[in-house]
Amino acid sequence: MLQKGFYIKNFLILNFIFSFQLLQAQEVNCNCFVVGKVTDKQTREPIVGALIEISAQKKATFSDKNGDYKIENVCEGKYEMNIRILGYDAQKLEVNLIHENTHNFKLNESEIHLDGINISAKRIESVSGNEKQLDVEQLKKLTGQNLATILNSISGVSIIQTGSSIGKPVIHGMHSNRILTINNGIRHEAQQWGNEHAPEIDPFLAKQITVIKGAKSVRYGPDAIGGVIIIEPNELKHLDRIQTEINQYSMSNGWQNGLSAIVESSTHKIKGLDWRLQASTKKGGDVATPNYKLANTGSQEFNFSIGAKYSRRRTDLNVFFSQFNSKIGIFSGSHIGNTTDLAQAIGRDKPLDIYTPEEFTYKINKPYQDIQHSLLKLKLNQQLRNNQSLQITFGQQYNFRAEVDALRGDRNTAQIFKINTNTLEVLFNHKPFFKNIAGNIGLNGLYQYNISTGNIREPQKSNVLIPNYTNFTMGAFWIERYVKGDFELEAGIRWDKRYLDVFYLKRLQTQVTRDEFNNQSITNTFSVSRNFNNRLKLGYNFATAWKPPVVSELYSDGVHHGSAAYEVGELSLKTEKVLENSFVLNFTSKFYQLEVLAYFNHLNNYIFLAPTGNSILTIRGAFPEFKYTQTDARFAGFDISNTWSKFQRFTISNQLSLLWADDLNRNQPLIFMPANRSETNLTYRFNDFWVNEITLNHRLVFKQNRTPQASIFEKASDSSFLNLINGDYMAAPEGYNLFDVMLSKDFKLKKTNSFKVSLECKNILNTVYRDYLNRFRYFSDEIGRNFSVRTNIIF
Amino acid sequence: MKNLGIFVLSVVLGLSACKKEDEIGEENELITTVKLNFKNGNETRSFAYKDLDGDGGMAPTVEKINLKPNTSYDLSVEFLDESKTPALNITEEVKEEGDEHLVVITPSSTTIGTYTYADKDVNLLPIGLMGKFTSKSAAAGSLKIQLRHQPPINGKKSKDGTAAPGSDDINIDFQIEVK
Repeated sequence: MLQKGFYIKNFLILNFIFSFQLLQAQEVNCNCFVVGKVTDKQTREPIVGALIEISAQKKATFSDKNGDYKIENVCEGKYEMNIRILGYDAQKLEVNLIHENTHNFKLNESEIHLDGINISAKRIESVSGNEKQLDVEQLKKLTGQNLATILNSISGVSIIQTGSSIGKPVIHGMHSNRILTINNGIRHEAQQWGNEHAPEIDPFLAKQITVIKGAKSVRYGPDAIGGVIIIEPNELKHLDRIQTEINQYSMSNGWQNGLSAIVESSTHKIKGLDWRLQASTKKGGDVATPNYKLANTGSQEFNFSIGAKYSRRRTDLNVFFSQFNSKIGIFSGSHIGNTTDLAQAIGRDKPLDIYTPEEFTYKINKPYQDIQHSLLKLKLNQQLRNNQSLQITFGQQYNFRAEVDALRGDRNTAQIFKINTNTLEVLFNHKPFFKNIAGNIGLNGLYQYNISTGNIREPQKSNVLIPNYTNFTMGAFWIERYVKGDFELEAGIRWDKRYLDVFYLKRLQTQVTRDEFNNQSITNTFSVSRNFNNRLKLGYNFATAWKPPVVSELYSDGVHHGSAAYEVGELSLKTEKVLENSFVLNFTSKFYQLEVLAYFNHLNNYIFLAPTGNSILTIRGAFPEFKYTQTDARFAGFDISNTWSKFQRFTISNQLSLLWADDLNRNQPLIFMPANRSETNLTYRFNDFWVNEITLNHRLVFKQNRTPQASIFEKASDSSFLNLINGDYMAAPEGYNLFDVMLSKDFKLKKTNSFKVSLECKNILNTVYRDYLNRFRYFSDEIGRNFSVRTNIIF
Repeated sequence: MKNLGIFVLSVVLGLSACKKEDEIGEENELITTVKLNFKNGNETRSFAYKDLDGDGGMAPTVEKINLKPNTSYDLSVEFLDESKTPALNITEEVKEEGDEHLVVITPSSTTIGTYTYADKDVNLLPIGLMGKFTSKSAAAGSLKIQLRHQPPINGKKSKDGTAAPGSDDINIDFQIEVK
């Protein structure tokens, strides 16, 4: 079962069965053949006209009217097979026609190896090609990392960190409410606005992650301004036996251990009922920088999910429930009271001794974050006549977040946020018009309420970071795609309306104030792509998107704990509007691959948070004031990746992410933008050796030289406590180089059993560095060398 | 093999119980008022810092401290939450948790006066709820009052008698005049 984790998929799955013959021969044998059948998984009907190609052998064929194909006279060797079908993503598959042991060349002529290979043929999310995927094999190598760190391996995706355990993904400089996460088909709704609020998703369940870099608002609604992250588990399928997958990892830094188990099967009693149970847990203690340990940086996680699918004829019914629980310690040395503490903490080279203990502990003390996220999903997929289908998805989510602080006595004092979200999506895929045009129409609805204190309509406190509110959003979209030969075109339009009702107490008032907001907008998208000779692909994407100001941007008024910031919202903020342009160039030859994504985005009324340089006087002292403001902004950049490979053994690749983000009103760079980055990867694969693969990775992150030069806000001269350096309290840190090494070994036990072990050392040189996008860069270095062992067993 | 999978699954499930919201329930506690009582013989002079609407919003009101020159005062510090009725006295709580707290009193100039601690916690380190303030000759300036919260880190005491560890629960300045 090569490519085991590939089946996740939404729409169609092509099932290929390969068989090949190995003949007794001294010389290269060119009598091998590949046969198979291409079928639509849902309708189980054959797919006609899929192109199956072994380009290295210049062999290609189409599947016939029964979905069958045959490629004859293939020489033995290791090949890449390409399977392409209109309207679907091209798939690559490595097929090894050489047996590992040369003695096996003496196999009897009649002996045929049959291997079932499932390949995903997922409907392309974006025609222009600005999407990137991490497959199950890549995800296995990243086991144990948090979601943002996993995504950080994709060019153009960076990470905002709060210490080492909290990470948020940043796509082309945009994050939080500008990135939409689709977890298992449901838009993930939590407290996305906070920089130290990491996505509440268990990466152990993910078998494929797709990142769309750029606005995808027509399909997904107003939040998808900067990009979309789509996280999918494997699709449930029929199994005659119980299949178990166990993932385990251990890391030396923080002595973190994790364990996950997935058990899945089908019931015999009810035909068409498949199920899956999954649970994972992890526990880590204090992590260490190259020179010292960091107190209270442990983390714990416990997650589980239950899923079932019932299929009968043309109907699929899915039920899924998952719960995510985590407790994350916040580095004690970052708990600063006020400006004076902040200035002192910044002044120190190393945190105080008390914050860098010698002994190691798993214990998590205050301050910490305590988070729970539950998701219930119901999905109906109905195939209709004439290749039409209807999909109805309902999601219910509850997110509980407590930020527990170190305060007097043993009292538990916390900021608590409870948000409840219901989503409904109806999607209709119509039958193709004129053979070449396919598309869908969809309706979205969302109802959400957030409680910070009291009941929704009866808040009990003023001075909260975000007030109580209800949010009702609805939208409708229509997307059509035209495909002819190598040419594809997509156009779409969407309408959205949002009603926001906010309930809050003004200071020293007992009367509840209610504010209502209505926003609506239309968004468009247009993409075109053309494939030349199967080597060169050019794509262009145009999209508009909008985002009404969210509650935190409008209403924040309070101290954000752990970051010593007094955050102030701005009620007069206007709706943000985006015009996006991106170009994609893909070039593929035998030994070389080039991928260039160039983007140029213009944002009207871009909303951001920045320090004002003023301080707000409280009884705990003066706090640095951060305010939300808006400007016209331009985000432009390139993601460039180059890959050379020789003899399928040696691969060298480089990914370059470049970004220029500018504040057009103030005529200076925007604050808090990811620095340019280059990542180089060397991989060598062995045929018959004690390891299968050795990988060397080098990451170079440049110094962020593009920081604001002039102040962003007008400064009230008398109350400034801290001098701002380039709009921030501390100048951007120097650039850094990191080296990682990884060895991995696969064991194939029986036909369906596999065992995979990998060893990795991250930051092998124990480099001392700080990152511009880590909020704790004021206080401590990044973590040092980290050894890890990962095992994956499937039986 | 089949049972192993189920075994691992149940171990993972058993490792952690679902959490409850009740673990965390209380709202943030507020200190709105800091009162300084300077006592000399029968005479007590009290000065207060009040920020009744909490963080941000309206500016706090601060009374100006007036002291006689070359006088030794017993200085006691009180912390109140006057946003609630009746007002909460938080001073006792600070006293009980004396091994995690330190009041730091710093005149802007030594020409105004000097402060010495007159109380001790269970580890014989000062708390600063009670102390002695000795004024000098006529001068004006400011007096900084800090309540340092110095909770144990990973079970290890962080309070060492100096102001450095921990964070400020209170950090305010009074204007002071000695004449």
